[in-house]
Order: sequence, then C-alpha cells, then structure tokens
Amino acid sequence: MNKISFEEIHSKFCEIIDTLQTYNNYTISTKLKKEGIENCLSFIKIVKEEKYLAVKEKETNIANQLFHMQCVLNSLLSSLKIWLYIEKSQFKKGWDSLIDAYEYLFIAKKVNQYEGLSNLEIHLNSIEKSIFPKRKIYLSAAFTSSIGNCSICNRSFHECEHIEYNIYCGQLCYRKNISNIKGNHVALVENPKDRRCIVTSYGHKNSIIDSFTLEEIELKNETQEGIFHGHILTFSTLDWD
Amino acid sequence: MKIKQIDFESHQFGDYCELMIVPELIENEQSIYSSSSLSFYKYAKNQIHLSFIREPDILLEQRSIEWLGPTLLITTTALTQNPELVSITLSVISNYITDFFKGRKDPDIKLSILIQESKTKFKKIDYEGDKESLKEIEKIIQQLKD
Repeated sequence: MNKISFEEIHSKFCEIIDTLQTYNNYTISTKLKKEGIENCLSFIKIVKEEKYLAVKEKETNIANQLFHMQCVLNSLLSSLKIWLYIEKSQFKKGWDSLIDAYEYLFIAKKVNQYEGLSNLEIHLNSIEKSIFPKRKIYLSAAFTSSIGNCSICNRSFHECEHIEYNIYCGQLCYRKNISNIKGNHVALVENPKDRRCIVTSYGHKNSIIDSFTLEEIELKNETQEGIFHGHILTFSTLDWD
Repeated sequence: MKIKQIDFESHQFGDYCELMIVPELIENEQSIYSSSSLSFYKYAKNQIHLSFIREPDILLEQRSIEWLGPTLLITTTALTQNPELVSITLSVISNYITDFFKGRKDPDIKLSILIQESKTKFKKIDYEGDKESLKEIEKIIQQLKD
C-alpha cells in the first residue's frame, strides 16, 4: 500500500471539514449526516495512524498538525451528533456532544488558529443559544484523588516534566489512572469547569419537570419543591490518543 | 473581581526563603494540593525559585471555577532577598494562564497568596477574577510593605 503524503491528508482534511460544515444544520437529511459521520470516523483513523508514525519518527511539527486535524474532525463529528441526538429527543446526550465539540475545538486551537475555527466556534455558540435552554446554574463537584500518571511518559505526574494540556509531539498531556476519588462537596455555580454537569430535572409543586423540555415527567403525591436531579461529575472520554 | 483578606498567625511558615506552594490541607499525614499545583510548579520553576512545603500526595480538584491555582507563600525573607518576587510571581501566573487557556476566552481564576507581615503574623489574600486584575494583589502587598 502506498504511503499517503502529508499534503494529501491535508487536502482531504480541508475537503472533509467543508462537507461536514455544510451538513452541520438541523434541516440537512439525517442520512447525509450519518454518511458524513462515517466518512469522518474513517478519516480520523487514517489521520491517527499517520500521527502515530510521525510520533515514532519524532516529527514534531507533522505530529502536531495531524493532532490538530484529529481534534477539528472530532469537534465537527461531535457537533453533527448533536442533531442526531436531538432527533431522538436525547437532549442530555446532545448537550454533552456540544460540550465535547467545544473541548476538541479549544485543544485544536492550541496548535493552529484560523478563521475557519472561529467560524466553527460561532456556529457552536449559535447551536447552544438557539437549540438549548439557557442555563444559569451548573453543578460543580470538588473532590480529591491520587496524582495519577502522565499521558505522555506514563510516569507519576509528580515525577515528570510534562505540563497538563500542553501538546508534546502530537499528544495531549493529561493526568490518567487517577484513583481514590473522594467527594468533598457539590456547589451550584455560574461558570464551572465542566458544563456537562447540569440539573436535568427539578421539582415544581408536586411535579418533576424535565429541564430540557419543561414537560412534567412525573407527578407525585407530595411537594417536590427544592428537589432536583442532575449530573455532578463526569470524566473525559474524549479521543486525545 | 473579588479579593478577600484574612489575618492569621502561624509558627510553621516563617523560615522559608523562596516562593513556596502550600498544601490546601494535610489529612492523615498526606498533603493535599490544588490540582493545578504540579503543572504550575513545572512551568514556573524555570523562571523563579519555588518549592512545595511538603511533597504532594493527593490533589484537590474544584470544578466550580475554570482555574483553581495553588496557594502560594511569600515570606519576609524571600521578599528581602528578591524585592521583585511578587511582581515576578504574578507575571508567571498570568503567562501560565495565557498558555494554558490558549485558544479560549480568558478564564475566571481563583488563587490564594499568604504574605508574612511579622515573625508569626500572616495575611491570606484570596483572589477571584480574571488574569488582568491580578495586579491588584501586588498593590495590596505593596501597601502592606509600606
């Protein structure tokens, strides 16, 4: 099999992100969106294989550029998934997918920043504002844990020289294998670190109200005022490797 | 931007002569540091002399704020040896935030600085705001020195 050149990958990357952006609206057919997602997944696989080769050869610039592509593609992939979740009325999953899209985009911008990425961020902001209800309050957990290992060198994060959220030769540094997680408290805040942690339903009079649809999802015999259900802690499962 | 000042007394902190990172808590002989402390230490140590008061064992993560910085200790001895210590420290923090959050809007940050006023008297400055207003901490410390 012929080795694909970096220029060919870059050209294909530009072609795919243009196509995915044209699919990134509510009215576009679900079939096209699903095809777009499949194509994107296959291409991400190719990009990552090339990135692993570049990492092995210590070609830092190429590895970083390929990692950038991986993040932009994953951002678009996550934003396309929002529409599919909405179609199935899986609004929390749609919301999480939106936050995933932002997080991939922010990491992509650590390598390169250009107009296309600013436009994607504006598009995500528009989706957030027009599709989802405005959230004034988020949940935020405080917890202790072990230090964990470095995703770059696998040593204890205390012993190595790598810095969290820096990119080293196409790889994102983060702490992994953290354990002994002990909850400390949960707070209600306006600007949390993780916007996936939201109130999903709350009590109003004798009813439980869904925070996405505002529909009554349960009716009880006693008052439900002051009760709420939500997600208090999530751990990233994003594709950084 | 919010700055809170609390006076306290301690016999533990007076002898350090460089910038120190202080644990948030010590529990069962284990030092609990804010989760940003290790990366901040690695970033800052090439620009400024700093150490941990005790080796970190456990990290505390608070997701209520976009960046919860470490708690830093500046003693009178450290300030005498390096009168620019506060200014350099705040500049290192500001640069770290810029690098850490490259590609996204300026985050809300929170950190605490302990300043020695006399042998056993200290002031804890709790800061919450953006990185642009960090210089307000320097003004407060300057007033304490005057």
